[in-house]
Parts: sequence; C-alpha cells; structure tokens
Amino acid sequence: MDKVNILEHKLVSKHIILSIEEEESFLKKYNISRNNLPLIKTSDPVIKALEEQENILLKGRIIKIIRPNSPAGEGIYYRYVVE
Amino acid sequence: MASDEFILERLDAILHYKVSDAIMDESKKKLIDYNANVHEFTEAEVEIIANDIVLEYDKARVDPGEPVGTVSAQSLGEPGTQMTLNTFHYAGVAEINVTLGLPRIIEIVDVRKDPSTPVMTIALDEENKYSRDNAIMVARRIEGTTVENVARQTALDVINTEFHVYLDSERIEDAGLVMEDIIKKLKKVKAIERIRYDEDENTIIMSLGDISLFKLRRFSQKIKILPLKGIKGIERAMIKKEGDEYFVYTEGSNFADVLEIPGVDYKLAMTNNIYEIYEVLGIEAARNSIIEEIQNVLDEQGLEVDRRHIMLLADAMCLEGDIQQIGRHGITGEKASVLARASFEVTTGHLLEAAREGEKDRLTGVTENVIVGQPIPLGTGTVDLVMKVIDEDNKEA
Amino acid sequence: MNEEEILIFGPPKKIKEISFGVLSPDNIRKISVKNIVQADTYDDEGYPINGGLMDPKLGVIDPGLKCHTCNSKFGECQGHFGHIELARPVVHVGYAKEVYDILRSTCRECSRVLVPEERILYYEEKLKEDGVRTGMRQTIISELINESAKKKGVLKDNKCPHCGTEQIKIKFEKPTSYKEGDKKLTPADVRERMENISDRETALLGWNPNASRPEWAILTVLPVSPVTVRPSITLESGIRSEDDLTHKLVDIIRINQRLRENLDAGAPQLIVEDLWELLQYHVTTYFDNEVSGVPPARHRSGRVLKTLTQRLKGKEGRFRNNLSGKRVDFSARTVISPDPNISINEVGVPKFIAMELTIPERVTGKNIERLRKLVVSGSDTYPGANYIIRYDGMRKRVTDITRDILAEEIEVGYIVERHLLDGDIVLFNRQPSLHRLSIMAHEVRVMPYRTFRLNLCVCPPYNADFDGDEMNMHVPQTEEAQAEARILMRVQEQIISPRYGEPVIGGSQDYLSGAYLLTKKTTKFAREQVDQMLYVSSINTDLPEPIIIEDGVPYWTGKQLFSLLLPPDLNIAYKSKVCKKCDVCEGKKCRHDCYVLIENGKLISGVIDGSTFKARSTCKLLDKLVKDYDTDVGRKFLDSVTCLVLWSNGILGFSTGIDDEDIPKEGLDVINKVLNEGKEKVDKLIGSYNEGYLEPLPGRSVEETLESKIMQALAEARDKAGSIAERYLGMNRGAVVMAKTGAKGNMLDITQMSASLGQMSVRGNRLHRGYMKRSLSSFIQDDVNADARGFVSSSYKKGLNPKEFFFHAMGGREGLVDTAVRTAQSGYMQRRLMNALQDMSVSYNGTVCTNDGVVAQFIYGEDGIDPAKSTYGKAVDIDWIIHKNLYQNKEAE
Ligand SMILES: [Mg+2]
Ligand SMILES: [Zn+2]
Ligand SMILES: [Zn+2]
Ligand SMILES: [Zn+2]
Ligand SMILES: [Zn+2]
Repeated sequence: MDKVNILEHKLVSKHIILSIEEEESFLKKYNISRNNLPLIKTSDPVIKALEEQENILLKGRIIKIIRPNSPAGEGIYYRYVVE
Repeated sequence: MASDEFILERLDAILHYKVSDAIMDESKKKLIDYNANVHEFTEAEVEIIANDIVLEYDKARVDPGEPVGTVSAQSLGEPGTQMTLNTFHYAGVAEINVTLGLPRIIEIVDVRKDPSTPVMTIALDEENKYSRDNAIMVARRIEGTTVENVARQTALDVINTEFHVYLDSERIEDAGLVMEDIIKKLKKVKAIERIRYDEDENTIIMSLGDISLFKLRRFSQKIKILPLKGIKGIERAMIKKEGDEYFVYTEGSNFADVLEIPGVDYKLAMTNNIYEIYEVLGIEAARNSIIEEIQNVLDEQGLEVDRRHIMLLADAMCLEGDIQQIGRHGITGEKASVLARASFEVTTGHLLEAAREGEKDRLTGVTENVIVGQPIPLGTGTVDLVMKVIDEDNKEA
Repeated sequence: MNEEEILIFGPPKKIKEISFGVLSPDNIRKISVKNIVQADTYDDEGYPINGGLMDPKLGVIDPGLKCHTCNSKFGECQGHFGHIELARPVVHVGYAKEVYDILRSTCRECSRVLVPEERILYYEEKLKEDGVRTGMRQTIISELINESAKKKGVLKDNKCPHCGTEQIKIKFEKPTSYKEGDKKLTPADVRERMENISDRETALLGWNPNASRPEWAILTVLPVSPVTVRPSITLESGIRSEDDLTHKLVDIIRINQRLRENLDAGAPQLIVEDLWELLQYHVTTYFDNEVSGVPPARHRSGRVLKTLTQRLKGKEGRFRNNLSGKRVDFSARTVISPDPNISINEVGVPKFIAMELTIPERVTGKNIERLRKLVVSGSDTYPGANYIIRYDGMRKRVTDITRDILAEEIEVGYIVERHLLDGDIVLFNRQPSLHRLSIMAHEVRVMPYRTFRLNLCVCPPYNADFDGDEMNMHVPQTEEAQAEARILMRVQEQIISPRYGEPVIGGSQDYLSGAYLLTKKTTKFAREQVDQMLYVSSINTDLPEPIIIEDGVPYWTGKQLFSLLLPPDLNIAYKSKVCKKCDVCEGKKCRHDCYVLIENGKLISGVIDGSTFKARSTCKLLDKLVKDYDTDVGRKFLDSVTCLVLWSNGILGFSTGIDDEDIPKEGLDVINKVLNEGKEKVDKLIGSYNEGYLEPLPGRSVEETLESKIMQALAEARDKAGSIAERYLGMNRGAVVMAKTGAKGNMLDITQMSASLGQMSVRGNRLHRGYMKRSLSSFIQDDVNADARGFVSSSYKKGLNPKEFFFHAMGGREGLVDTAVRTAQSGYMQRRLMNALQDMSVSYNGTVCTNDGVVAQFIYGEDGIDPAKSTYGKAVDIDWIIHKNLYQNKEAE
C-alpha cells in the first residue's frame, strides 16, 4: 500500500505555488496587497506537504487553488501563506 | 453549412474569457449536438448564437455593490424555519443515525469539534473493494473491540481480589483476534499483579493484589472497555455494497488513523467531522467539506438553496486560514468595527476593549452606519452622486 | 436644513470615524461643568439643589427652564457632565481583569514588563508587522502576558530581568481586589505601580498610550452623567421619582462624603477600609449591576437597579433596541385582506391612512396648479394636503381656515406635503423579515375601509395569510428613495427568488385548480362568457377563430383563451404537474393531456397547473417569461391569468366535500384486509421474537430489529392501503384535483382521510411513552402490537376511536413543540449569519470583499453569476438561446 499523500485526497483541491513574477502580475491585476488575501497557514497539512515535496519554504508566498465542483466548472482561488 | 470544426473554432474565439468554462463546454456540446440532430446551422447562425451567449452571460452577472453576503445569510437562514429538528437515518446504512436538519446546520456553522454524530464513509482499495470477505476484514481492522466485546461474562472475586473474564471463542474469532494478542494487551496494564489463563474454562484471571473493593470495581470497569484492537473513537463499522463495490461505514470518526489502515482507499475516505478534515487535509478541503455537508442537509430536507450562497459562507468561514465560527468567537468577534461587535454580543466588553486599545471605527460596515444614521456602503450606497453646482459668478463656464 | 443653508454648507456632513479612549482624570475634570458634592436632588420647593445631582448646570429636563451652562431650552440642550472627586481611588470593574494582567506581568519595583529586552523587541515587532488582522492582536498580547506572568517556572529565579527584584505572586480576588502574596494591594498602591510603566510598555500590554493609560482604570474622579441621561419623572401624585442612575450616584456621593470625613478626622484604619470597600461596591454596581460575586444593588422596593451596563446590553439595550433598530415616521400598520383584482405591484391603502401619510412634493411650474388644488381641498378631504413648507423651512399646517390663504401663498420652490395618491411608491413589510423579499415596494391604490389590500400572488414571499395578519407600510420621502424603491424593490422585480433562482411570486390554491379546469380538454365557453373573461383579465387582443362549433353556435376552448396571455413568439414544452409519470411520454398525444406544448404562443396541448405558474416551485412558464422576456411580461401574465382563472372558476364552479373521500364498500373491504394482513405480519414477527428465532440485523439488538421490522411492515400496509384508495380517487373529485395540480394538499392527505392514517410517531419512533412500559394504561405492559404503539387504522372520514384520537394528538403535539423550538433556534442562527456576512459585497472588479478590504472570493460564486438571474443555477440557458435565434431567423425570412 502506498504512503498516504494527502494531496491526492478527493477533498483536497489542487494547490499551485505562484512564481514571484506571477505573484506580482496577480496582485497588479486585482490591485490588492498580500494582506488583503485569504490566508493559509504554514501549519496547514497541504502547505507542509508541498514544502516537503518542493523542498522550499512557502511562508510569504501566494498559492493558487483550483477548485472542482464549481458552478463555473473550475473555480480559482488564491491564498497567502502566513505563520 | 457550419462544420463541427467551425463551431468549435468560433465558440473558442468568441466565448473565451467572456464566459465560464462550464458554459463554454456546454455550448460546444449543445451546438454540435443540435447541429447533428436537429438543425444544421449556417455559419452566420453560429456567429449570432455565440455572440448572444456572451450577451446573455453578461446580463446574468452580479451587479457591483450587490450585498451578496446578506443575500447568502438570508438564503441560508430563511429555510431554517422550515427544517425539521429530527435525527434521521443515514442515507447509506439504515443502522447508523446521523444528525440532520437545523441542528446539523447549527453544528456546522458553530464549528463544533465534536459533532453529535460523527460518521465515516470509507472506500476500499482495488484489492478489497470487490470482495465481501476482504471488506469485512478491513471493517474489523477499523472497528474497535474491547475486552467486554469478547467476553461471555465477567466476574469479580472479592476474596482474592481477582477479576475473571470468561471468553467467548466465537467472538474472538469474529473480531479477528487470537488469545495471545489479548493476553499481551492485558499484560501491559500496570495494575495487574498476576495474569493467568485457564484453558478448561477459557477464562482469564487477573489478580490485583491487596486493594479495596471500591478500587477493584473501578478497575474492572476500566478493563472491560480496554481496547484490544481497532481505532480509537470508532464505535462500530459496517460494510455495505453499492453497485459492485463494498464500502465501510462507521459510527464515530477518526479520520487521521483510518487513512493509514491497510485496505482503505485513503483518497476517497470521508468523514462528516469537518474539524478533522481541517486538521488532516487542510483549509481548502475543510472548505469543500463545509459546502458538501450543508448541501447534503438541504438536499435531504428538500430545500433549494443556490450553491453560490453556501460557497460564500464557506469561504467566509475559511478566510483566515483556519475555520472560524459564525458567531461571537469567530467572524463577528473579529470584525474591525467596534460598533458592529458591540451591537452583536458582549456589548460592554467590546466597548471597554476599544477604549483601552484606542481603536478607531472607520464606519465602513453596515451596522456602524445604521447606528450613526448614515447610508450604508452597499448597493446604491456604494456610489455617490456628484452634482456640478453652477457657479453664479461664472455662468458661462 | 433649508435651501440657503444647503447652499452655504453643502451636502450634509458625513461622520468618517469614531475614536474610542479612556477618560483621564484631567479630562473628566475638563469636561465637567460642576463638582457634585451634595447627595440630594431637589429642595423642598422642588428646585434642583446647587451642587446636587440635579444641578441646573448639568442640563434641563423641565420644560420652561433654561440650562445654566449653555442657556438653551429643554430639548435643545443635550446636557453636560459633572464630576465627583473620590476620597480614595477605586477600581473600574470593567478593567479589573486587565489591571490584574498588568500587575502580574510587571515588576513590583521598577514596573517593567517581566521579559528580557530582546523579547520586548520581539513582541513589539510582532505587533507592528503589517497584516496583523483584528483578533490576532489580542492573541499576541495574551501570549506576552502569559510569558511574563509571575507564576511558577516561567520566570528565571522569580527575579525581574531588569532590576533583579524578587517577584511575589499576585492573586486576583474577584471582582476587584488584588493580593501580593498575603498583602492586600489597595487601589492606591495599584495605581502607583501603573503610573510608572512606560508608554512603550503599556502599548505592549494592550493599552494604547494615545488613548489610555492603565492607571486611569483606577478611578480618582468619577464623571456624573448629564441629567438628560437620567431624567427624573413626576408621578401623578406629584412625587418625583428618580432614575436608577441617580439613585446609584446618591449612594456614591454619600459614602464618598463619609469616607472623606472619616479620613479628615483621622478615623481608625478599619473604619476607613470598610468605607473604602463600600465606595468600591457602589462604584462597581454603578457601572455594572450584574457582576458575578457582587450582590446587585436594589431599589427601596427590592427591584434590581438598571445601571450603565444594563442600559447598553442585550435585546432591550441601547445598541440593539435604539441604535441598530430605530422607530420611524411615515409608517402605517393594519390588518391585511386579499384583493384578487389589483395588480401584484399594488397595495390597497385605506383612505384614512392615505390622508395621514404624506409625500413632500416640491412646487414647480408644471405641478403648481395640481398642488394648489390639493391645498385648497385641505387636510380633511381626500385628496388633499396636510402641510406646506416655505423656502425658509417654515412649516404651516393646512387647516379649514388656512387652506385658501395657503393655496394662494404657494409658489415655485415651496414644498407641499400632500396625501398619498394612486401610483405613489411605498414599502410594504411583514415580520419576521427573514429575507429581502419581506420588504417590497408597491404602488398605492387608495381604497375605502380599514385594511391593506394585497394580491394573492405576493403572499408567498411575505409568508402572509389573512387570518388576522398585520403588515407595515413606509412612505419614502425623497425622490432618490422613491426612484430606488421603484427600480429595485418593486414587486415585479422580485418574482425570481435570489435564494434558488425560481419564482417566489406566483399562483397558488384556486388559481392552480382553476387553471386546470380552464384548460382541460372538455372545457368550452360561449361568446358572452369569453367576452366577460377577456374583459376582467384586461386582454385586448383579437379573438381567435372558435375551434368548436355546435349547432351553429361557436365555442372557444380554455386553451385558446389561455394562449391569449402568451407572447406570440413563445415556444416551450414541459410536463404538467398532473402527469401520471407515464412509462413512455406520448408527447402532445398524451391521454392525460399532461404534455404542455406551446408553439408560437399557442397552447397546443397539456393542461395548465402547478408546473406552469405555482409560487415557490419549478414553474417553467412563469420562469421563462420573467427571465427571457421581461419582468413586465411576467407581471402582466400573473395579473391576467389570475383574473381569467377566477372568472372561469366562477363559471365552471369548483368545490370539495366529504364525498370526495368516498370509497365504495368493496374498496374499503380490500383496505381493511390489507391493514389486517399488516397486523398479522406484526403478530408473526412478535411470535418469532418470543420463540427466539428472530435474527438480529448487523449491529443491532434483537429488540431493535423487531421494532424496525414492525415499523417496516406497518408502513408497507398503510402504503398499500393508500394506493388502493388512490385507485378510486379520480380527477372528478375536487380534493384530488387540488392535490394533483399542486393547489393544496397532497395524495397522502386524501388517503389519510379516506383509507387509513397509519403510524403515529414521536421523534421518529412508534409511541411508547406515557405509562410505565406502555403507551396507555389500557394496554398490558411491553405490548408491542400495532394498536398498542400508535398505529391508527381508521381514516379521518370513518372517525378515530378514543385511543387512536389520543395517539393522533400525541403525534400532533410534537409538531407544535418542534415549531416553537425551531423558530427560536433558527432565529438566532439567522442573526449570527447576518452579522457574519452582511459586510460582504461585490466590488467593481468582480471580487467579493469584506468591509476591511479582505477578498473573500475572486469572482462571486466562481462564475460571477447572480443566482436570481441564473436559469436553475446555470449562467445561461443555451437551448433557449439557440431556439430564440433560430426562431428570429425564421421570422426574418
Ligand atoms: Mg396568519
Ligand atoms: Zn446646556
Ligand atoms: Zn524590576
Ligand atoms: Zn405524463
Ligand atoms: Zn403522458
């Protein structure tokens, strides 16, 4: 049996780390600052799993989330990683 | 006549970024279907229809300033008066009861860490999901078995301060245990001085040394509920066939541990305990789960509420990276406005805190502006009318 | 504000910000107009005592007197604060806990926070960090307090990291005393310590130095609220009755004076301490009379006093009762009654209300003659006017004597407050206002008698009926408000519910059963009947060719008449509510005429019923008309169809009676047989249980298994009995028509009337409580038979025997209790949801933001679609768009 990888659980939407350039253009597009974004904690299991998988620290980064089961087909959301 | 390629190409070109993916996909499917079966479109017709889809989509958009929060709150609150208070049978298995209706909705928005009826629906992996025997095996791994569960009878020997457990071989086998396991487990209990197995009687006898009767009784109760195997928090596990697959349903929930059980398809295992989902799978999964759980209750009650309202509620609850309660200790309690907080609950507490912290109320919310008697900053209140005053001295300008 | 003032000052001022802070002793003295020293209020002649609690400098509460501070009259002066110099400092109860936190986290010697410098810097940094949202702050502060608190194991050697002084544990004795070790700390001691804390460190402890200092939580001066806040009232007997706050202040001053006298006289420590504590008690209860551990202060009569906190708190407190919810002018309330002949957009307003409520209309060159006529007619004849307002804001009542003069006087620029007229826009409301559809804008229709009149189609959103319901009406006074109400809030704009995107306004009851009768295949009308029907439903189109001609007399079908209500380009097909769920739907050839087909605005086949225009349900036609045509089209359809159906109902006749539930004897025999079989099955189950053969279901005990199997058997029996009864219940019975068309009731109700009621239950179980081990004393204990546990085999029509009647009442009672509990619970949940979500709105860039600017969604609902404008949750109806465009194309050809 494989090791439990929560990123593959049905309820976990796809989390994508935005590159620094993408972050800038995203913030510009919506004309907002990081502090006005929805948050996700560094202690969040998904963030921990991503950090391990990518081997980087994510505090201060912006995560793009692709949500299934949306009236739009796919819903797009962003969260700012905080402690 | 318009070819399928033409239809796809034009829809892609015209609808792109103007409508949602869902509508894009549906348009393609419907147009091609219609083209093939009902009426062959001319190219001009395709253009017109594609443009009209964009137009109609724009017509259906929310207006800026729309108080969507209030509408969501009302859309979820109003049907509350029509919901039942009863606990109903679980849709899956008749034997498991689950709280539904208004109490369940309240439980969800309260973010109760221990919901009144936690249950799990556990899918099995390829190896186990088609076989009844395998499914039962997995269920046994999950279900907790206590000493009491495998005993025919228990007795206290007051004179020798002993506790006798008369075992039931059949039950031991049912639970997938062997004698050695049980004795091993019992040996780990510190209070037991000596442990003996009487094969003729099929009885385990535990000596406890010199202790009072009261203590002996208390101890025996503790031994009775000593878990021999299974997962903490799960009281019962049952299997049920759906289609050609077996699922395990449990009363009680322990999401983290169940995911690790061999035979379980951890990608599809579900619990109705939202807080557990938050702890194990994170905020986004919790948000999805809040939506599904609320939707589930409303569906069961036959009440229609647009999914967008539930989504907004869930997003509001998950805004800060953890699940916030709807109420004093959550969203409302952390509002920036002093007046809004004070008018909700614990009025003086919020006023005193505001004074101490020297807070400023910027009057950006609804309640604050109602309190001071100003138009609220929603809907038509988001825009101001600016009128050019004619300067009497410079009429020409 | 009058015209000139507006020109001078511009638009009304707007409050931008409200700052909160703690009053310092200096500030209290500064805002005070008088040092209050007398514990008395009025002298024997009834004049306020100088230096007393009712000092004339504190404001005026008697008409006729003038304020000694600002010299304005009663009603104009808002009152002024006074102050009391306390002989000894006391603790402010509201901050007692915070004072404790400070005491235990600061050094007893140097008053510095008991963490090393680097930790101070760390916390300072953490609090400064931008993006600290509200709520986080308090967490950080309590973290620091915990780290610095004088408790075991936290502090190294229990010594101050700054000066090295050994610390002693502080004990907080609720509500307001502190001990350091065994020594009591007086408020004076506490105050002294806190005075020494630097601004920088108070900020870390949650006291913003710009607004508050911790030592101000220890009161040395007490503000005395203005008399306008605590007016005394004169009873009929001439005795003055003072406000609760005044009573409390009297106590404070009295004790304060005694304490001062004793101090001056050098009284023994014990007496001073007692008085000091008493002063603390009175000041505490002055602020909050519900502090736990403090006996509440009482009035002489034994009533608990309502002091400052009690005035603000709770549902009846200042916030929720006066600030969040306000009383308003220009409103009316009366009983409602139905009127099917007015539009859904209208509300019938009784004349006497229309003459009381007014609309201010500014006089212009265009309306001056009309307004003059209204003024001439005066305030006692309808239509008239009640007031005129001159440029300078001078308001004049229109009376019988003045009306002619005032009519002469008015000129362009004046404002006339005229009576309500037909067509004016008003807001109409019914409590409980659970959703936005509970307040809608209606057009006035002035009518005789004393009730508000309401079209029946708007009952569902208000949840109104006419068994004595009352409703409220509000008259918007400004043009801006009127325009907003008319454009956004008018009834026809609310036909589609924002909750699920389907109509909440629409037909019900007779409208649906009547529409069924009207559009049934067999219905036909002669010429004069048709004329009447078209007249009442204001249809002005040409009559189509009659379809039926019998003996040379032309007849029109109901379907033809109904078609006249539809837009000519409408094409739609759906199944009607009466559909028997035929195995294969035969389309327009359906035997039951249940396939509704509308081609080019003509009803080709199918009967019209609930699935066409029933409120609060999926009703295809009304939905389509409103969303894809216009709200106007939808409104006209509803207005016309209801009138049409009512008139046709008058012609065709429709009734229900007890014979609707008749079932022939052979039918009843079968039903009885089925029910008896069910009971026999139960007997068998009980038998096998008693003999021990019953196999338990997995995870269930044998008893539980028996119970669930019995319930199953009985439910089966009742269902069978019901379906047998249904065989005899055809569409020739009024009750069945009502159930099948969705007008009222359902088939279960009818079979309960005609066949059997079935199992009564409480909390989902069969009835078993009441007596020990039995439901009624006439059964033996532990009897689990059908009859003993509330199975009612009689029907309503047959009548219930006494036991059955009692069981039925038990089941019914649960329903009542449930409703009562539910309203309370859901009310609170609604309030919480509202408070949590109300500040979220859609911004111009499409995001959903809270008022703090935090984005909650990047596109509303992830697709930016308003549920009220969607088609069943989807953004657009692609089928309809294809159809619409192809049709238009055909037209063009
Ligand atoms: Mg009523
Ligand atoms: Zn004054
Ligand atoms: Zn020190
Ligand atoms: Zn049918
Ligand atoms: Zn049919």
